[in-house]
Amino acid sequence: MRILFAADENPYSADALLQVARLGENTWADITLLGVSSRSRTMDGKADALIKAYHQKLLGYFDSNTSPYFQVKPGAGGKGGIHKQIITRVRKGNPAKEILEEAKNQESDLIAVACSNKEDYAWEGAGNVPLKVARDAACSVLVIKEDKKINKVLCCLDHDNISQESLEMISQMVTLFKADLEIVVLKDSDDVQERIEKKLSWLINYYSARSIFPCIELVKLSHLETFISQQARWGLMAMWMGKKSILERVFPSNKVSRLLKANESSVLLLR
Amino acid sequence: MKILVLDDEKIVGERLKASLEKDGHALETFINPVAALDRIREKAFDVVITDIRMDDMDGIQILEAVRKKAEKTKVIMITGYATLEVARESLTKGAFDFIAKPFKLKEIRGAIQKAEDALQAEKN
Repeated sequence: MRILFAADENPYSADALLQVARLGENTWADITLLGVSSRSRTMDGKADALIKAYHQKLLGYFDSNTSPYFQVKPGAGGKGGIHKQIITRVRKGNPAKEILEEAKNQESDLIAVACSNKEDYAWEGAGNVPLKVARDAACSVLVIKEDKKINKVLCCLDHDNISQESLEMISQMVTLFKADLEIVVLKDSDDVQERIEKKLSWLINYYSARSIFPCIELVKLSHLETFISQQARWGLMAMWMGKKSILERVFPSNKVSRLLKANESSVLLLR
Repeated sequence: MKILVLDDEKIVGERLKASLEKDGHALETFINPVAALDRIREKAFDVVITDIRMDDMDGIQILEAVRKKAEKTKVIMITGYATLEVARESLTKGAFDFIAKPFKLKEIRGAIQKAEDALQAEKN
């Protein structure tokens, strides 16, 4: 897995760095730390210094004897396997565009970005960068909201078209945060009940076999926005936005933005 | 390269077999850890790709068994429930790589290529 963590200078980014470190270490992911400076030359040094500081903080988080980001020391038991990378990058320009471009260049599997709790998926002083990244990225995006403890993962899936990748990414998040899982299965008004029940049963069996015991709720697509605004105040909202997903097929991008804004929790958009 | 794949999700083995055989590797896939371990005892593999959480035996036990039987064999761990404890144990017990699900084929291909390079370097 390759994680791109795009950070600004605010405390929420520093806090989220620790979540990224945990995810990285749990999964042996390659990590890129990205800072974006505005076009003004006076900002260049600031972004460089920020990313260097985050790099040091990240390295300080890991134990050099048991982390894949360090050479395993003789006697530690390791036998010279692959060592994972932490790389730092600073780009100039529009933050959202630069983050998306870097993710594309790096072939990132996940973009992680933090945001303020005060505004809707925004970077303080830089507008709604996380929202734009979440909406427009080609890969999965994790938006970590400031001061939100993740006790529960609420996950919206199509009953008809659930990708293996989504199921697996959700398992990783539930494990990472030691959270409960609630699965919201989206249905169209003309869906056949029997087919839905079959899929639900399959989902319950899939997770039960992995010692994850989800609550499952059926929600009509037309009620999704209301449901999200009522339910998503705790934890992490995960939505599958793959090309074949209902959300991607029936929701224009401005509606996706609205859905995100209606939500108070951290968000994982699966692609 | 001779590769053994062990995952109790049949779809994982099937997907890897279809793709990696096209790359010229010889694959044997297993969903049962005990059967896989028997095979590992019979035959030397260059690479073992194993899931970590399975019913009868976990991937760490497979890793230990492989390290004991064939030290040169590179073990690639895959997991859908990556915890720090398992990640650290895999590292200290000598896993060559650790890949979290969902993975892309290019990740597995990359790990196999690096394993091949490492085996070649050890020979020289």
